[in-house]
Amino acid sequence: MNWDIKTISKYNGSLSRDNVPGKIMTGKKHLLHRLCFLLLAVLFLNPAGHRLLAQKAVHLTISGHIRDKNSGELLSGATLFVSELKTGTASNSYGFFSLTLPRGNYHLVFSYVGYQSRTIAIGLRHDTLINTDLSAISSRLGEVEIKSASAHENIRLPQMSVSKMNMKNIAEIPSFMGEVDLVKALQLLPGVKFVAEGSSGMSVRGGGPDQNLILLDEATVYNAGHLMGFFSVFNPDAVQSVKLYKGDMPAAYGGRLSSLVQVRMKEGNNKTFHGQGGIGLVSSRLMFEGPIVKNKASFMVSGRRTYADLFLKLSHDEKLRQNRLYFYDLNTKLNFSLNGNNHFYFSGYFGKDVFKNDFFGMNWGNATGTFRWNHIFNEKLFSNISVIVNRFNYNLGLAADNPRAFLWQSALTDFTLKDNFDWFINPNNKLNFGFSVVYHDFFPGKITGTGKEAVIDEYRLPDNYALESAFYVSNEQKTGKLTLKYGLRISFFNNLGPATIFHYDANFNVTDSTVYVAKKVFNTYVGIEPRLGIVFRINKSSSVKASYARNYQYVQQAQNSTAGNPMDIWFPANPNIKPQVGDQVAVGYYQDFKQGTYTFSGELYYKWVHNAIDFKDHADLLLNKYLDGELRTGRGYSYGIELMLKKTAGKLTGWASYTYSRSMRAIPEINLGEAYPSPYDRPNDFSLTLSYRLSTAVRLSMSWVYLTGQPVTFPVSRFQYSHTIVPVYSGRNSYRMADYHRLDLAVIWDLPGKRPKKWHNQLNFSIYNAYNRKNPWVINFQNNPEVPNATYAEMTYLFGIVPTVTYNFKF
Amino acid sequence: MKNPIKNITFILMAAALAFSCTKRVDIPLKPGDEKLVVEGYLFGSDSVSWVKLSKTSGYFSNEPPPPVSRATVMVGHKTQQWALKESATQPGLYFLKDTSFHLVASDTFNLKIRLQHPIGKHTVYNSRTVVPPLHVRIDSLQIEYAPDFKKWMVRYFGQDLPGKDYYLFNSLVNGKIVTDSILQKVVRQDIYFDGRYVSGAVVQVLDERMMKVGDYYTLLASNITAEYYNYMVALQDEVGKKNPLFSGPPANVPSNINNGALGFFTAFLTAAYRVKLEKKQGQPDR
Repeated sequence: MNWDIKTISKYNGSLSRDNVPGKIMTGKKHLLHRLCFLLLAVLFLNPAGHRLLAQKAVHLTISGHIRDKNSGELLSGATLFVSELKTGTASNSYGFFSLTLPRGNYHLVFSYVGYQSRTIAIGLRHDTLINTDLSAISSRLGEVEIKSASAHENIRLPQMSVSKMNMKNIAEIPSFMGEVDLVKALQLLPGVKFVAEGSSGMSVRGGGPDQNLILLDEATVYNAGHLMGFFSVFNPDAVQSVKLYKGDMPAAYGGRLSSLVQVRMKEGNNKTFHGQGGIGLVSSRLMFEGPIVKNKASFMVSGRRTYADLFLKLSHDEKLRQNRLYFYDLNTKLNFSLNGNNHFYFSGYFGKDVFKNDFFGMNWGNATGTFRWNHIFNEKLFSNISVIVNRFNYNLGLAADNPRAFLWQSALTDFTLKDNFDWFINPNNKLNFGFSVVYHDFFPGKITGTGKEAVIDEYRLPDNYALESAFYVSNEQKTGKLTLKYGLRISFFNNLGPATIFHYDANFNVTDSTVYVAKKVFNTYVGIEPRLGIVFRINKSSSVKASYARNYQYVQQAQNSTAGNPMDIWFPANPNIKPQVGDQVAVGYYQDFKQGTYTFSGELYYKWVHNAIDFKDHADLLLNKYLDGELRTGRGYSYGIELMLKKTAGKLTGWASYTYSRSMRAIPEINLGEAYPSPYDRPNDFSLTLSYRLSTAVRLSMSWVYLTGQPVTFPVSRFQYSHTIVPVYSGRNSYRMADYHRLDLAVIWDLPGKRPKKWHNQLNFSIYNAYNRKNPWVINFQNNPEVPNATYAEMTYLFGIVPTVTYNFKF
Repeated sequence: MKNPIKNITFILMAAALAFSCTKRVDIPLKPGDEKLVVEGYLFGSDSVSWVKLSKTSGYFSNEPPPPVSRATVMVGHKTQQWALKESATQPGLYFLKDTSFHLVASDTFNLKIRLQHPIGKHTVYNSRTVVPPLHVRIDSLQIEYAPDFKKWMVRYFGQDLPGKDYYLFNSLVNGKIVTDSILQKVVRQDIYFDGRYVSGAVVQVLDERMMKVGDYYTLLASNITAEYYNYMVALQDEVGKKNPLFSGPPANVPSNINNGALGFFTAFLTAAYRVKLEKKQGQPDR
């Protein structure tokens, strides 16, 4: 079945939307739904809501879900366009759409990036349920790629500074050591930069890596890096898509200043059983998905593990054989459709890095669990309730049999409840509202002597607890050529006892402390966060947009290095630390050419950060009870222009992006109070990412990146103390390392097979840093041990040419 | 507190840098302002106190630090003043060889320097420091050879007294100091073992070539001020290698000399514990 249409009497339209024939809701439930409607209309005093009631007699609603034809997975952000009225809507995060139109005959065009569009002709006489599915474009089968009508989505929607990528496209980008990495793909977008060579940390519009809210199926991922950040935690087999909002995030989200990264896991094919996997230089992967109950319930389970340490076992050196160095990821997702109105999801992730030998051991990792319940109240009101648990922790210490063994532990655990509503009021108004509550449990660290002769008994930093909650409402309103988006998020942050808060004098010395009892709210911050956006459609293929967003960030990371490491703890705002507040204004121009084959976007932005956090010189951030005293606050500002030209169809696809931007900080106690470039200030940033389909079986791809060198602090003179040469530095970040550039290449070869329809084999050859550019990772100034009083500068670079081959399979 | 953490980050870095290479590069650096550098120590009665004066120089100057001679250097305690005398053989090095001078625990000592020619627009520089009481209680030492690292590890056994303490550890081998550079010195604070019996904390790590069986080893343990501890930690940060994973931004080390001079003036009392390095059964001669 490609699509099904159910017509519904306008009198009982909200009663019989279930796909189960003959199922009728009771009058009591009908009344409940109507009451709910009325309550919401009164609550938000939206005139559109009143108009809706008045217009009910002549306006009818089309609603339903849009799915992938082969897997049955719901498509988020798919569009429905009504050709006759030149209007439309997009499916929400769960593939649900709703559009209210006057009675009439229409051609409905459903489309989604990377999928063939589908047009359905209907005569709209009643409220109508349409569940449709779209076919993914398969280059392997030699299908002609059809430009998605949703190419114009970027023209129409009032949301600015947003990018969406599917894993299918990401997999074609040349990868580092054969590991397809969605974070590294995001780093190729305008306004997004890696924080250090090879790092999966990213800076968005000059912000720090802790200013990105990274969500995996709604669960916060506090540390998205494996192996000191060289790989991200997102297993490509388990991920369906990723969406990046650069500052202008929907009102439903907040808590970070720079960006929202929404990673969506695959739901699992609810029609047939499939598997896929790969064997690479670094890791192997395996994923299975299939129906539990066909078309009703499905599962996906996926795993990835690196195996560098398995090769160590072949070593002749016994000590080397005892080393362990690996990471793994486990993802799973179950979903169950109880009926057309109730859908349940459970998704989980568990990943860990392990490094140990007979002397020392360390492990760290994330665990997340998300339970979601989609409920459709009626053809216009959709809700999702999420219950989420996520945790990041690390442990390290000396081996247990060491008489002086110790164990160092740290963790951060969140418990979250969210309730989100989408109310498709009428063709011109779409209301989103809801609330979220997060309980943070910070366990910043404890070190315990576990050996018989341990030097340390126990040393524990005080735990912290906090409640971060928000209420939000946002409306998207179309008026002629204008579409407005206006919303408000009100956030609350409560510090809870038990807690010990230290007091500091003007010189940041501890003077006293206050102990708060359990469950007592001892400090509250309230954030008023308006989100505004406007789009003016010049014509079908071009528009101008503007936006303003304010964000509050209440938790941040004690990271003093540019790339960071797993021991960088997160800490909350408290009476000593005010929340960081970011204001961003942006304007942009968007143009589609040749029916969307080419898209262009240009955005200008300016961002202010109040209470911007940096750390004092020689800050001590590890296992420090007095961490608050190591912080220095001031202001930050960044601005830039981002240009992007994208080709979305044809044999050659890809994009070119250029960003000119600056990112500065001004903190009274740092750099003598003078403004200085942030570590992420890289003014010129260009990237070119191309994929060329040579034949139905072979694709070539490349990416080339160029960035201005990283700002650094170099010495201007030196002195001698205790027979050692000590550098005297310039102002902070007043020099730059050499410019960064790198070319990566890949060939993706779909191997011919005897049973190509059931088993697909693929080889992916990639070369990282194809012309062996020695990009500086760090520059150290050293004493020359062979020549007294002589010094030299030494550059460390990480990777030369790294060729890899990965075998992938799918069935 | 920082040093055990540094050991851990060193191990992690070694793993992370498996693919790294290094290369010497030429970097043009702008010249900085010339500044006075003071390295001043007041010791207990067993050692001669001294102050070394020099100037900053270009980072790649590749010359010894320019000494500052013919300065008037005075140390004061309450109403007493002592003049330091410049060495005839080592310009810029001023000794305090007055038998009436001795440190008094918990008291403040002053340093006054008057230059013949101004440096950084100033001819007079001052500083002051407090002498921390000596809380070191060494019961015994254990010296073991770590073959994996090819190092001698010196372990300390003794009672830590209650209250915040900051320690500096140095080593003598056959009476001669072998920890005269910044990275060889060890500083610790007692945050993890305050008031407890310290059973085998590593307080010195010496290269295997520094001593051998039969040598006399002496551990010098001193109580230092929090300011000098922070100064030493900052020095070790800036002298050691940096990397983007663990290192904060480079920054100038603090100073307790006024008028923008660099360096530090400190005073401390020291306890010494001397042992003969003997061969354990089955241990090779080193």
